[in-house]
Amino acid sequence: MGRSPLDKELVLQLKSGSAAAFRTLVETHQERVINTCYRFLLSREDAEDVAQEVFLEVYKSIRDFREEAKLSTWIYRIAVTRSLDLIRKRKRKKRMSFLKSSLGLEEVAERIPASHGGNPDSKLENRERQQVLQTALNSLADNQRTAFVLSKYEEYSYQEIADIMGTSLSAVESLIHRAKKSLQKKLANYYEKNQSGNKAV
Amino acid sequence: MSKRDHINDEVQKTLAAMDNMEPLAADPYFYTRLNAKIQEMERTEQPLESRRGLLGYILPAMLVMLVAVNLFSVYWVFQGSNEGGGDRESALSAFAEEYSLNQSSDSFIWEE
Repeated sequence: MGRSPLDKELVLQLKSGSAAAFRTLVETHQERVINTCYRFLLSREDAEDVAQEVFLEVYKSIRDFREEAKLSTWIYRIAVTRSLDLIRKRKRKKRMSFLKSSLGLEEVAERIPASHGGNPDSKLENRERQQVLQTALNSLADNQRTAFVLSKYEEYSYQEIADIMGTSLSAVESLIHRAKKSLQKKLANYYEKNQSGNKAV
Repeated sequence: MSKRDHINDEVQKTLAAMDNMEPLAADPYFYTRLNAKIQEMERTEQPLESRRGLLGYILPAMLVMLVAVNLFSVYWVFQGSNEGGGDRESALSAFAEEYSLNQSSDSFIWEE
């Protein structure tokens, strides 16, 4: 994996505790980290919070960074891991609240997003589609979901996705292909059942 | 458009929903917030770190001392047993005399 001398210099400065180097690092990567998290979480607030955690982790563990990968790859890998962690945490919470509600202990606070159907506002329609897609993505394996979501962010090449996921280029292509197939099936089922567009996935 | 075509159309549109996502711009105070969190983290972790540092020195030192004392005791015991019965016997009788172990329990209690 090719690392530029600039990258090496920056890592050296970061390891020596340079605040200026850390600021440069944050300012260089913050937008890509936020946008990566946003594609997983679909919420600006969550994406910014997770991005903050990502840079905190970078700050805390830069001394342990062994430079086996590019610095940027390492940072984006943390961003993906943290986003998936939050999604898993939310899923657990949802399961718990469902369990509580079925035991009559508590009302379900959060419902799976429902389609509003036929709204003329295309932005809102796209947002709804994103939520439907997100719900379908939730049922995929983590590696398929990661490969698919990152492939939808034009900033990443397939090779970068492979580096972030620590796998080969062909494996990434296969994961994306399988993810698309699986999503097509799930979405077709969804639209078949909800022709009127008023029910949740 | 047939029902099947309509569903396929919806599926394709939904799969493409993430293609046109507008990129988010970072909050201008992103670094400021991050910096505040780092400072807060360092403030709360510092006493813990220093305590951990102190323990890091004390614990190994105590462990080394304990091992040294044990080794010395073992050495002392074996050294004593190797030096022959004479010295050992005299040391034992001196010890018994010192603590009045040769007297019967009654005399030991009532003597004073």
